[in-house]
Amino acid sequence: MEGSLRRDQRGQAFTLEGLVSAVVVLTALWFALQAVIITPTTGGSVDPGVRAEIQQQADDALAIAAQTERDTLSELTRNWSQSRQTFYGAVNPRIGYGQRELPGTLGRVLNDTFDARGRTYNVKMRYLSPDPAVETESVIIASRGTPSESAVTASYRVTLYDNMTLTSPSSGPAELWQYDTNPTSNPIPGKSGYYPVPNALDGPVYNVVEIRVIVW
Amino acid sequence: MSARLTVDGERGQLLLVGAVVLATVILGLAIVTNSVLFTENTGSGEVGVESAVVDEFDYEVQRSTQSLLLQLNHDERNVSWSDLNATIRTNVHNYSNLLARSYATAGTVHVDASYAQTIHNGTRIVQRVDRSFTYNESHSPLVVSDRADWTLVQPSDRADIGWLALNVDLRNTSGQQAALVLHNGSESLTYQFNRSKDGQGSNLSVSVDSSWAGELTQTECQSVGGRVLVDIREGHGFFDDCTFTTFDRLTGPYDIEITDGDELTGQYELVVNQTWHDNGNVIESAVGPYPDCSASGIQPPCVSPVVWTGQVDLSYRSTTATYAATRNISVYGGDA
Repeated sequence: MEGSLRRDQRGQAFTLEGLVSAVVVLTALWFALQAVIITPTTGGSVDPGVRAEIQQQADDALAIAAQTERDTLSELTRNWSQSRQTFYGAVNPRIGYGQRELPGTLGRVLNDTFDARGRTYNVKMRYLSPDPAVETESVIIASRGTPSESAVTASYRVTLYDNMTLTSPSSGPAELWQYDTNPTSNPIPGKSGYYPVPNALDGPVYNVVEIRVIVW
Repeated sequence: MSARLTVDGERGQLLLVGAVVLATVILGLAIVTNSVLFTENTGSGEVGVESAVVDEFDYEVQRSTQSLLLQLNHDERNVSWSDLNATIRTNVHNYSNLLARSYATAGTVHVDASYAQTIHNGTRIVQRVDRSFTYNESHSPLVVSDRADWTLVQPSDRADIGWLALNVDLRNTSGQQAALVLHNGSESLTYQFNRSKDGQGSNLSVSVDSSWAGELTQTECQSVGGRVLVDIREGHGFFDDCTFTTFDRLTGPYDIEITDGDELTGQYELVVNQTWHDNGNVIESAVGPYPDCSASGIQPPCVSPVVWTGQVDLSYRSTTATYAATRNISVYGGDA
């Protein structure tokens, strides 16, 4: 009799232990499944591998445009229309080329690389002031919208020289150092028209301009 | 009964212990998996981006330094070797400062480029005033003893040519041909120039003949303001699209001869890789005999020093990358 009673008690103990074991295992499983990694993709944005690929493509586009023999990045920076105070063929100074394809090698490569794949981009030119205390200034080459949080930026620097000329069809033979950097209607005597990039240095070097491409 | 009771008790405890162990394993796997995925997402992409920036910096500094040296070589002609070196160092330093500002505005990056030394210098033979392509042995404008047929670069001084450009005064050039002949000891290339239409035209007629294949090119280059600018090395005019055979068709080094130089009027510049020796107060040129351009009262052509191959030190420093290199810059192309 006494032994039977103990077996009943042990059976209740076994049941309890089994229940507790199940609860422990299920709790651990639930916790593991609920653990979430906070990554840039958590909110549904671009995968890091894709961002790296876009970054490489933007870097390559600029490098190709800078190092080609014709229609170079340097020529693009000097493709300026003095009368319209923006780049030649652009829509207006606020958006530059906007949705239009940029001229030259950079425009072709950006179109083939990004436009064809449904991505959009802004392009900007930054240049230095002769006064080191002054921040860099910039001019819009193409503005197509507000970049998303996952946008990538690529840049390339080009050196301009005093003896270079503007490359737009409407420009004359004047060298860069001869241009005024103020967009006034009455140019300073001895200066022949307006080009925003100033002569930042004595000597043959005129300025170092940075072309920035932001892709999203 | 006691033994059976003991076995039953142990089995129940084993179930509980096993469950706890299994739960611990599940939690451990979850932690490890999360860590791996997090690490992959923070990844090494930034390193790849910075290597592209460093490559761009290296390439553009080399290219810009080459352009800078070329312009400084052909700027002033009345300079000594020490003056030219000082000018080069100053300009490369200023360019480096400008570049550093540009990189600094984009992030915590410091770049620097400095001119280290000249590996190999050369000589520029220049006629910078309009006169006939003749040679005056006295080098004095007061003594008229010009020779129409003469040797610009002697066979004993055969050299590689980095620059050869003519700025022809077409109005004072005749319809009779003047010739510039390049020899390499076995073959020759002859450039002949004359004013078109028997001396009445507004173009410069350029024909190129070789000793191995006869006539190679016959073209005319248009004048602008009465002048024609031609680049013999690259084989084209500066103001229009006229093209002709480049002298690369003939393997160097070269000696250069001028015949009937009195038929051609204008200016010219030639750069050869003969070394310019600055021996204290005495300037010796292996290309000659020509007077130093810094001397006064001389009849051109004269000589002045140029850098043929220079060396520049580059450095790039950011919070994640450090890069330093020394690059040889071949100003006129070819192997540095």
